[in-house]
Amino acid sequence: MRMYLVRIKCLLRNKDNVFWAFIFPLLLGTFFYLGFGKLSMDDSLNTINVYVTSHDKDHQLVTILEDISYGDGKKLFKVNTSFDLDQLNQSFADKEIDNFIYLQDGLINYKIIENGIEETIIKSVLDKYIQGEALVRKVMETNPENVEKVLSSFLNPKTYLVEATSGTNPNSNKLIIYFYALIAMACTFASYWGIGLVNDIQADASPLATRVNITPTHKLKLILIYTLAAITIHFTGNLGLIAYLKYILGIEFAHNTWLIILTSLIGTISGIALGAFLSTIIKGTFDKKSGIITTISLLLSFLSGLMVVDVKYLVQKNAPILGLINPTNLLTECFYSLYYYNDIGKYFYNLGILALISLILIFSTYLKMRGNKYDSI
Amino acid sequence: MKSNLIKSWEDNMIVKVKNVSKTYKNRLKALNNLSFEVREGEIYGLLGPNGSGKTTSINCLLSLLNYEAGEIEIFEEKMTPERYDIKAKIGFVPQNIAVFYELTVYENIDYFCGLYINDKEKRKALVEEAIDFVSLNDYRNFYPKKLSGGLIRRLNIACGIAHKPQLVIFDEPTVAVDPQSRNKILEGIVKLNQQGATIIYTSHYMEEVEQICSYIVIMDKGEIIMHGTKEKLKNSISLGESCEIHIDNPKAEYIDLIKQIPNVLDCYYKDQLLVIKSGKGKTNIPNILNVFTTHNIKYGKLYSSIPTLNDVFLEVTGKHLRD
Repeated sequence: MRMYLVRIKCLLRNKDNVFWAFIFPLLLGTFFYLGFGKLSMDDSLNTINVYVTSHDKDHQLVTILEDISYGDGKKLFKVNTSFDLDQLNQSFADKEIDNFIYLQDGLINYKIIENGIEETIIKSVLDKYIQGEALVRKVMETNPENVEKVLSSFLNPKTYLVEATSGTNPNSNKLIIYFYALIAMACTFASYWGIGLVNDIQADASPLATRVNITPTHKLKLILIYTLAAITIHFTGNLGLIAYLKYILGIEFAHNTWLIILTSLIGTISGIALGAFLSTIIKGTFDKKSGIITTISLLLSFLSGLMVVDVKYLVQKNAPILGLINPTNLLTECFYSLYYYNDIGKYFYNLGILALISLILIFSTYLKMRGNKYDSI
Repeated sequence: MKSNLIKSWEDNMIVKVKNVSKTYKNRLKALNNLSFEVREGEIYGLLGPNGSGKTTSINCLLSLLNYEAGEIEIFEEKMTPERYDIKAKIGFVPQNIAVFYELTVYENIDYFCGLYINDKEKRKALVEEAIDFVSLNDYRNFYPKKLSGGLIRRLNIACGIAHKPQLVIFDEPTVAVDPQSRNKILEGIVKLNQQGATIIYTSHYMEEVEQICSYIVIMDKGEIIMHGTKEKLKNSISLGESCEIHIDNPKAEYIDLIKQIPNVLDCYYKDQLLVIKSGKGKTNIPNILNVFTTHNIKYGKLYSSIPTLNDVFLEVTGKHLRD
């Protein structure tokens, strides 16, 4: 306990640590907030143009699409039924429109360029409609007395919007993901604590570590205490960030704040563990290690789609194992599970793998340092 | 009775280094078949120029560095990185400052002492004693950045000795230290030894080693070139006396005149000083002055000294300790 408290004291008295753990994320959050302006669904989402072939203009789907509204009665879709199938096909091919709907053999078909939230909304609404229509048909065949109840539920347009836009949060919008990314980034910053702890324990890293290695304190004990102290400080900084975003800037994290906090904790541990493990492998000064680990962190972030979203899907499609062993990817997957997919099973699956990788990294760090003699000091 | 005496003598060896060789990855042979033993109660000096292998020896001794051959025993046990029981009896003062810059003087000593001593009251007393020992009472709440070079060296020492180890290893503790702090440090080391600690002391300052060490090993290029007490070392060389005489009008022919005096080993000018090295035996000063008088050579001040460890090193290696 004494060593833990002294370590906390050491870390807190270092001004660089305090800035990067506590102040920098808050500054970045503030800049995000000022840059994106006041965030609300009503301001950021416009009415979406949907194209239906003129031949199908009397289909009930058109009526339903025209009826869906959000906010203060603002229409979600503007349905255009002026063109026939050939014209729509041509316009779609020329990229003049990014969606259209047509009926073929009584079945609803649609073409959508999937590149944004508007298209995601259209797709979600249509999928729901198609599923609902099939359900109603089946109920009519098997249990006709319940048709009215099913229809009522199916025709509730609000349901489409909620599921299509934000998973669990009806009031949030696509820009909120930037604040999730900010929390993810704050977690990856924890890797610098990992460098720091190895710098103070591994005999060939610093004079201080050399001295510590002569003492009778077990290496595993030192690693655990130093890691725990780093987790305490960095996680406290993350809690401060989440509280600042939620209560000061008014960012609405839906109904999963506790899960965000849990993700932040495991993310912090994984960041520290990754930084520590890489530090034991990389030979050289603290600055050299920081430089290399920063580069690796950026690469992991890139592969996680934090810079270019498509990269994440490319990795998932072509080398899924890379996504599974990339802590940053697992972290973003956790946030996506909470925000986009609304899939708690997937969330805990990713979080579990992240926790497991963290444990493996911490243990590997110990194995790398345990009983080690060095070539030079 | 005789065998008991031998046993007791062997038991007193608390450090045994046998045939240790160490080559760095850059192929530099740092230690070449190094062997030495340290007896309990000694102040054991490792003297040598920079790069002679002193620090490498210490780091191998402490199981920080790997080595390709040899054996090291401390307190009659093989030393390995995980022999925490042996480490508990050792104190180490590294050449580089190894303290937390975020902790005060008191907190630093308390932290390192706490890595050895769990009992809070006992630790408190030991920390106070260590602060007294290095005379840092007035600076106990200072952060290291606020301390001068000499004071921070003393803090570095206090962190290594506060837990009262049986064996204390000092690796060049006086580098870049002012003379006043240097004297304090040397006095402290002698005091520690008087309190019962065995000391291993490395330095390239021959005066320090000569001043405090009871047994001296002279190293060069990873090898021991001589060892013994300072008296034994000095007696092992041919030099008996060095004279330096200020000459008003130095001439080359004076050197030839002096070299004809019996037992003069060497003679040369160092600026305006005529340096005369004589062999063991009676002092040569009367003979030298006689030559000056006979040949009407005008001279000023005359300095005479007995051999130093630098002379020993010079005679054995052909170079000065600080080269």
